[in-house]
Amino acid sequence: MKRVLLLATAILFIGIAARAQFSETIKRSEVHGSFEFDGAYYMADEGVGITDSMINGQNFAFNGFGKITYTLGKFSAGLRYEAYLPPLAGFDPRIEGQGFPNLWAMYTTEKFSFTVGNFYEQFGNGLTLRTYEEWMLGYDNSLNGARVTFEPVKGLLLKGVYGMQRFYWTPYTKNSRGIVKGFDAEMDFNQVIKGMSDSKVRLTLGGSFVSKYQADLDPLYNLPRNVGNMAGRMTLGIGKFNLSTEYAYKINDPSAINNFIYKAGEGFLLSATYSTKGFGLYAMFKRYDNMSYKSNRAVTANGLDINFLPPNTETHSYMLTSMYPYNTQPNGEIGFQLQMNYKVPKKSKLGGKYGMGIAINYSQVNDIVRDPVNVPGTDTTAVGLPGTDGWTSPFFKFGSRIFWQDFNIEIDKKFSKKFKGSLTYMYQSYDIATLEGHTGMPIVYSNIGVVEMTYKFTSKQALRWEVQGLWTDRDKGDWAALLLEYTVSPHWFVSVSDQYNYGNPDEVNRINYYTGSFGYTRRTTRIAITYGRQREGIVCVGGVCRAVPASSGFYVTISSSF
Amino acid sequence: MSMKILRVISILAAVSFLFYACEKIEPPYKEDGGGSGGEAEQKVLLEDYTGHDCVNCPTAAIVAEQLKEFYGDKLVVMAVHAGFFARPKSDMPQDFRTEAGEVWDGFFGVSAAGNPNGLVNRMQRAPGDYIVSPAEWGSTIDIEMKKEAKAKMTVHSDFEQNTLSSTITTEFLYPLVGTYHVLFCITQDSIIGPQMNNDNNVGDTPKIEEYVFMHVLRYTNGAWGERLTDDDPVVTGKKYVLEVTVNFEDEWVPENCHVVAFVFDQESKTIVQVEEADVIE
Repeated sequence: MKRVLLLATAILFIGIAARAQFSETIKRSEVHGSFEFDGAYYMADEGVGITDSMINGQNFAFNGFGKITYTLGKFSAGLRYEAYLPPLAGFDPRIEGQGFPNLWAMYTTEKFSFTVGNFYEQFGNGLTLRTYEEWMLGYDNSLNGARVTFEPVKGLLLKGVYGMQRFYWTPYTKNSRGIVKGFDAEMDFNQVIKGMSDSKVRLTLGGSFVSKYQADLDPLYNLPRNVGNMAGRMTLGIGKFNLSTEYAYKINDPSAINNFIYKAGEGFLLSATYSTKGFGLYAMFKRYDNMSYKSNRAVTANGLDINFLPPNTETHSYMLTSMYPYNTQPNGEIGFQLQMNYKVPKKSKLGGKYGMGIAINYSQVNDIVRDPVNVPGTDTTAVGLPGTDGWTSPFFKFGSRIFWQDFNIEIDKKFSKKFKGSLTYMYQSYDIATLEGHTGMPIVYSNIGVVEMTYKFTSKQALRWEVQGLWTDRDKGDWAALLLEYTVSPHWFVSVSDQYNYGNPDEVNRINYYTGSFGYTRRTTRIAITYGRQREGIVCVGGVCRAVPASSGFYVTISSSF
Repeated sequence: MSMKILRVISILAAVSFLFYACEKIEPPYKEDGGGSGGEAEQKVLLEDYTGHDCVNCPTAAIVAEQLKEFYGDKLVVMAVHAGFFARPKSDMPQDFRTEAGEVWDGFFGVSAAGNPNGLVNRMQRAPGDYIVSPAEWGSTIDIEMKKEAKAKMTVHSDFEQNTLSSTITTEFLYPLVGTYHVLFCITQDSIIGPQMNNDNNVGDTPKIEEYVFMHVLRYTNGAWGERLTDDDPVVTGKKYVLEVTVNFEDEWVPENCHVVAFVFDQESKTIVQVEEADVIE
């Protein structure tokens, strides 16, 4: 009896202590997450050429994810669930499926951090390594393996990564894709060198080395199994002036993207900024020569990119300024960008009561020059033939083919407490044959104008409208677009928009692509419903083209975070 | 003291890592090869899904030809014109599509993934994933070619007065379980017509006006052929015979045509064996 009592007391005490410990742990734990569900209901639409037989019963599409992160002191872990059942139109069909493609755990101390599972990492500008995910594009090239970071002294950061990349839902099997390993070191001189902590000169130096291993099972070619890609970078700041540069060199990497040539690859970035109150200048130069770097040499479309090649073009967001977007040509491109921002001061003649902003931007991308090389075993030369050294290319020379030109000027002004607007003019030249794979089509030259105004009826109610025009005598001809958006802060919005291809040389294709949406936002939760039409297109990535059909119907988006 | 050792180890590791993580190949970059089989050798079918409007397809066709040259008779190539880029257009009115080709394209999801793409013995890389990109044709064919042959096939044809009569004989070397069908196809070489192209090394860009289309699928005995036998498992050593008679269309040039016959598992669609023979023997 005494023993039973003693045992019961002991169990009770352990229970209480455990419960106290558990609730203490719960109190110190943090859980965060976010969710998004995008659904579509596709309908037949004769006006856009969609028939019921084309939809073929697949009226519904769904993309969804849920992300949860748990933190307890120095330990954190997380997961992401995704489902594409089936994926929305425009997404790569290989993404169809569901599961937990992202699972990770991390432990951090003062000098070290250890991560296992899926993680995202970037070395410098990404020329050797950049893994990231972009939900709207269906892009995720996360590394699945291990990462260690070490900061021996403040300002000197060393990183090591090892693993294999995510490729849609394909599990890793022997020889299915390559193994990636990398190392990066970056030193912030102003932190490491005591004498420089207050210096007007800010200097960072960094270097990275990445290597991928993939077996050679090809019967025709003698392929390198280990391919290394190394880069050195520097950022230098003196007062209002800043300079950033990175150079990368990749050894022979014959792949489907470069047509199995044995040429080395080079990437070079150089950018400079000057900024002071009310005025900023930005200039960038970049050159890529055979810089595609994938962990499976046979893959052509989006997927398994180990590195990232930053663009030198401005990303536009208006309906018509984003109609012809640039996409980087990893086999070779050379270009530059110049931007000036100026804020006309308040109370000046031009600036008015609130001032006026002017932004002028020009960017251009050309092909590199490619000189032929010897074809082994023959006395002929060729450019880009498989099993050769590809080409030679003088470093700073611009090729004659212009892939892209973009000149734009944007003026924004606040007229009164209730009324503000902006005016944009853009001139664009777009090499549609190279950038969209429409081989043989001439360059599309276009002029684009956008007027955007916002009027605040009250502090909570505002109406925004956009009127846009795109004028060209190439491709699909002229377009006009209109957008009206009414917001009742902080919760509601309703909008209608239309893009009308009034100038299409083919009268049957002078179509209105209209949409109407309304949505509700409360704290971190947002719901939006859209009804309308999406344009068709052809997606060409890395030598493989896929037709993306036009679509019409309802779209629902629900997102939340906690 | 321990920090010093750590630093030295890190430097040594980094240096050896750099040393071993780069493999610079010296020319020649191509390998010599080829091979001949025994009596019951495993042959492989490469299906190249293509279209005359597909600008990247001529480059892939070159890869197929190089592999055909490398493997000789052991590799059978079939060009299936199907999907978006095979549709006739005003400046390219030729139509190389077939009913069976469109069914296969839809079932295997080839052009939905983009063209050019292909199938190798209709093997599944992962459940439901059959597609092999041109850069992987060589390595995938090589793996299939090294497998032990599970069946033998022979094709005998008689061509008279525009009619082809073929006898396809299949003999299984193992008592395989399942439902087996035989697909009988006719392919045609040397068809001249326009083909879009963006590879200067292959021909004119953007269009090769007189492109030579090879291995073009012209005819099948249905999308999924005919059931070979009710035997399950199949009887080894027994000769399963399929007789086919086809009336030739006007555009099919018999001297340039081949019979391609393959036996496959109807459930998994995996090809067990394939054989190719000229229409005019």
